[in-house]
Amino acid sequence: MSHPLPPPPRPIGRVAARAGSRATGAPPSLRRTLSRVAFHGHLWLGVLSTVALLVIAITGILLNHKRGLGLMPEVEHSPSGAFTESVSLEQLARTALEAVPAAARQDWQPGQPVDVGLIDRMDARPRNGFVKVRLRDPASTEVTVDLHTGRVLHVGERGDVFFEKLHSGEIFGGQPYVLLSDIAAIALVITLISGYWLWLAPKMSRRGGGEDGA
Amino acid sequence: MTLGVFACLVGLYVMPLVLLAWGHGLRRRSPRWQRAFWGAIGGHLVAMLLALGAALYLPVVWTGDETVRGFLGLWTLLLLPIAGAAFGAATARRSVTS
Repeated sequence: MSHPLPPPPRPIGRVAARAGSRATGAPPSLRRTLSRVAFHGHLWLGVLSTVALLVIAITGILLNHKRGLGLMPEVEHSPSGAFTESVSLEQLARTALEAVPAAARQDWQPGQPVDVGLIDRMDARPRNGFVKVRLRDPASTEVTVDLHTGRVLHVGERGDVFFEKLHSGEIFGGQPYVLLSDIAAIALVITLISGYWLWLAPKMSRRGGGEDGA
Repeated sequence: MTLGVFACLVGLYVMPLVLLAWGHGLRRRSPRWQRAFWGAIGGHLVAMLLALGAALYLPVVWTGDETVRGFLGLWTLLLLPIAGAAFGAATARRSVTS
């Protein structure tokens, strides 16, 4: 008893579309149309988003390992007093501004009132007994100050802040540019789905024994 | 938006589209056209590496006085493909005349 030979693998994408149009003039099937859309979507979106996705992927890896790479200062400390006896926020900010290099504090001089415009945020960690004062300079300088004694524990740059902005697209000029990162992410999702379809569609055709599996 | 950021966005999103559209029907084009295309692709690949390196080398926000980093990070994605295309077209002419 002889078995009929399976049909040859069907071409995909542009090749499939051309083959279909050359056939009998019949309208292209849904699967072939999907394959054509997937092929062109995969190609155009892949090329369009290559550089953006490279940046997003590399910065993502760097951010995952920001402690190991030294992008984020890690200060080991335990509280040196009761939380109720903490130094005032103003004094902590002043101590931090006095501790940073002159370039980071711009025109501010020790002895002047604290310029809150220079400070991005103050991240208090009562369990560790310190506060992290991050400045708004290009290097995102961060000063770790003891909550109770006001002693400077560490001064360093927060490289991960820059990478976060690059990762999100915010580096181009603020929150609206986050959409650029969103577009690249959507392009990646479409590229993944279309790539999966381009792999699956010929197998479905072979399994079904015909173009539409009929 | 500064001019540099605009150039970077054009190089990042518009230039790949231009190259992709340019690549259609390439075999039917003249040798000079083909050399220009491959020059542009080469320029874009080199620009990609330079821009990535400039963006990631120092984890610090650009300042106005960083001209080299600004050029590599913002302008190369736009300018190097154009320079590559010009180079490709020029070398094709030289090979045709020789």
